[in-house]
Amino acid sequence: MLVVGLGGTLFALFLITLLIQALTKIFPPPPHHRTTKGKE
Amino acid sequence: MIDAVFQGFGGLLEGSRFLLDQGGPNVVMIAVAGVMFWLAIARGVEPLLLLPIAFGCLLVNLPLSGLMEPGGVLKTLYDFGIGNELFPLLIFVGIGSMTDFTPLLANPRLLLFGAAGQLGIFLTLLIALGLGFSKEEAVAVASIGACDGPTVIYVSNLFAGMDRIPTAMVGALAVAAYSYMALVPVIQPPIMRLLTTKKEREVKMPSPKGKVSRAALIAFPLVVTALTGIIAPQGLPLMGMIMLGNFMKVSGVVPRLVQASENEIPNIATLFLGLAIGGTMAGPQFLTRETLLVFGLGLMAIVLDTVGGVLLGKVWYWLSGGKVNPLVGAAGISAYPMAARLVQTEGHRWNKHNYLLMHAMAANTGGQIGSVMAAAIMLSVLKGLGIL
Repeated sequence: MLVVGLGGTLFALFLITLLIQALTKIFPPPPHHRTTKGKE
Repeated sequence: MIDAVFQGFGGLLEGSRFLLDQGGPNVVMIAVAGVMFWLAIARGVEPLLLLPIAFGCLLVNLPLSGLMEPGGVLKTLYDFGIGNELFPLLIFVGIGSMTDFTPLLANPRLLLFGAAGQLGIFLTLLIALGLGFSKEEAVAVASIGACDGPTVIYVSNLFAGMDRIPTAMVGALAVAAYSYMALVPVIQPPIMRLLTTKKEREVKMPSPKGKVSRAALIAFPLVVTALTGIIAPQGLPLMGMIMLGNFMKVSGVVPRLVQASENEIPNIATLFLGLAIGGTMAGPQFLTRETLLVFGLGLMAIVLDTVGGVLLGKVWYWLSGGKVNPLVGAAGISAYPMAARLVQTEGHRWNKHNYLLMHAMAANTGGQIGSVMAAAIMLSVLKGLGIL
């Protein structure tokens, strides 16, 4: 019970870490646009 | 006529007669309620929970009222929202909508601290089994290491509903969990200082630079919910409700529901949950050797959680060539957001130019996910073993 519980938790959190990395690659943050305000 | 008057007076004195004759445990628990009132009002210790719990404890220990018997108001509240695990889950919707996963998504490696911060759950489970607790009791006691009151109540009540643990134990577990969560600022700093050197505590970590897109923030609760459903379906109610609250918040399209999730829903659920939990603290059932052991083991679980997080921090410090401050590991225990604030305060104490808050928040939200995942996995393992 202990081994499977601990191993299962570590495995699940490892999967979540991979999922987060995949998500941030699939949905990257939009590039930062410089404002043109004040130049026009 | 005179007889009727005396009999009437006899009825008025029945309660005090009961307290004098056989009410010792009740009197002790009324004193315990008094201590909880003092902690909540004078010391500000988790007043939102301790105040209603203490009042429920006071009510149930005043004799002959029948509040916790079928039809009694506390029993009705218990059956309505705790017997079926509804109230803890409603509170979880609120926790989800108040949690910001952005720092974690910007730095997902810190989720490892959330795993190390659950060490106490598993070591306490081992110790509780060694002390002779049944498997269900041991899992319920170890869940205090989740540093998350609703998780403890959910897990313990699930077992109480199956008559696998005594109902009075639910009250002991809840009070122990919330008391130790409130005492995290007292429990953690000595351990953090004991396990780290001054040089390690002074490590300055640069501000995290990673940005996270809105689409990733929206997708995150959905994929974690799906993953939990696949790996640990027994814990899906817990994770699902947290992620529902968070999903509503990051979607940005249901501000009224988010407002209700952050305020009205958890407030009402907290009041009823506290009262009903207090109702399980009737003296004769509560004052047992097991209750004392629950409090002892609960403290041990939180200490070991902190040890696990800080030790991983030290390993990371060595592996990174001194770039990671091991104090951040202490935030992996959940107890969101108190543990993160504590890491920031402690880091700032040793280096006035150090701002660890965003790193600590990432580890802390990782701990939130880690603690719920650990509970979910344990429930699914018990199901797999045919115990649930």
